[in-house]
Amino acid sequence: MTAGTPVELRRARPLLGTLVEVTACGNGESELTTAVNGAFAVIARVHRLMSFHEPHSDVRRINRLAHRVAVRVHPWTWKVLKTAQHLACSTAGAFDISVGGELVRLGYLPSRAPVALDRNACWRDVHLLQGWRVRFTRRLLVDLGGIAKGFAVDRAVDCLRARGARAGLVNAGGDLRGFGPVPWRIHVRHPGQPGTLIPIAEIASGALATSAGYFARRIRRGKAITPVVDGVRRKATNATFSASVAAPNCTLADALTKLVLLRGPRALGLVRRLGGRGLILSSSPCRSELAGAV
Amino acid sequence: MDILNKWLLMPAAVIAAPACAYATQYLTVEQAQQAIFPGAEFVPAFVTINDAQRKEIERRTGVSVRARDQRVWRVTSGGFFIVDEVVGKHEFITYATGLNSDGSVRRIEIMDYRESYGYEIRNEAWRRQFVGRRDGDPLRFDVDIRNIGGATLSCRHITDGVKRLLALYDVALK
Repeated sequence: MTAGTPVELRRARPLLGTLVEVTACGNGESELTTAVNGAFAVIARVHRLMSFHEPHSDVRRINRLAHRVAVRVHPWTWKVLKTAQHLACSTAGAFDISVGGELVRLGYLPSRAPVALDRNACWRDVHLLQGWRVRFTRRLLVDLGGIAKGFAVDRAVDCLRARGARAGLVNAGGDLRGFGPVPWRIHVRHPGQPGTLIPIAEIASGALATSAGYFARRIRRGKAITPVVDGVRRKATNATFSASVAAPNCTLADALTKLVLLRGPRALGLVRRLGGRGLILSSSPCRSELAGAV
Repeated sequence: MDILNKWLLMPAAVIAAPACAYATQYLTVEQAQQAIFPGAEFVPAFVTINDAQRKEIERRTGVSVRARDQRVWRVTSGGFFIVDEVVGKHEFITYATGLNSDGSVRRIEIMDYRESYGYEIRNEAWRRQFVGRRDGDPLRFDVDIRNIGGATLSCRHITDGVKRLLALYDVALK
């Protein structure tokens, strides 16, 4: 194989309900093309497994059946569920994947045939059994929207590395992870003026995820809400700030941004104990931007 | 810690920048063709749809058809390659769709992404500035900005666009 000159490939495709961008650097364009295509294929696979909408996804299947029988899922889905349950436990239930019913009620997720959900259901009713099986003890709807994107980014980064990229960055709608010798400079949107980009961090090897309501905010009964639901209060947050979390992997970073969005600066200590670093940007254009970094 | 070199914290005065524009070009037409159909040859088969076809596409998809002219290439090894554009409130996206010979989607690649605030992105004259030219852009694009953390706009417009192209295939290409 010929040693080519250093090349950078940058591609974007619509996946996971957002634009996913994959950047890879290395020697040899054909090798990099294979790596980048592989990364997109992995993300598409995560999407097919964990989408709330896809008719044959694991999430759709467990939501339909797991309250009656144990449902076998793909090991990746099981792993994401496991991480989600661990975080639910560590955050005393604030981060909760069983809030799908609330998201349907708020109009953020589509409702199909009306089902009688158990209003008392929570993350404790999701049981992960041996053999990659899942069982619910109450009728509920799981939504992995707060964590699966980060998982997809992690698997895509694994793929880029395995296929010889020297450096790379995968960005799924603001949940990103980079690797390589040169740090990646990351900009985030100003939560009060989403068109203004602020350079907030340099990531050498690790993940940075950001959540904010600026494009997803809706008015419901006169109040602004965003599609992040508190597992304890079972209510959507109306946070106007943006939450960024740096962590070793994007699954964790993605999930922890939801915790910060729900609980604000008080959550930053817990974020740190769980292995991340949180930053909050206030939406006020005049005030100091930094509301808290730990 | 090694995962994060540093938070970059800028004074508020620097952050309060005026309305800005952000653009990335991923692929030219030729690059997108080779990315989706490697090694294939492409024969231009540009289509101009008539009123009846437009209405039929809109009826089937519920998506309004903005342009009558559609940049379509027939792939010699089978299938079609289509370059299309979608416009949102703040974004203007050019993308390529490869269709297999049975009309199923082979792949979608974003070719060009432009995001703008403070400019009239829906304005025809504003958008025409970009068609077929790269030089002399009157807008200031921040070339330094490469990686945006923080939610991107949703890809709903692209999803609608692809729906429209699949109907175009049924109505005018098949």
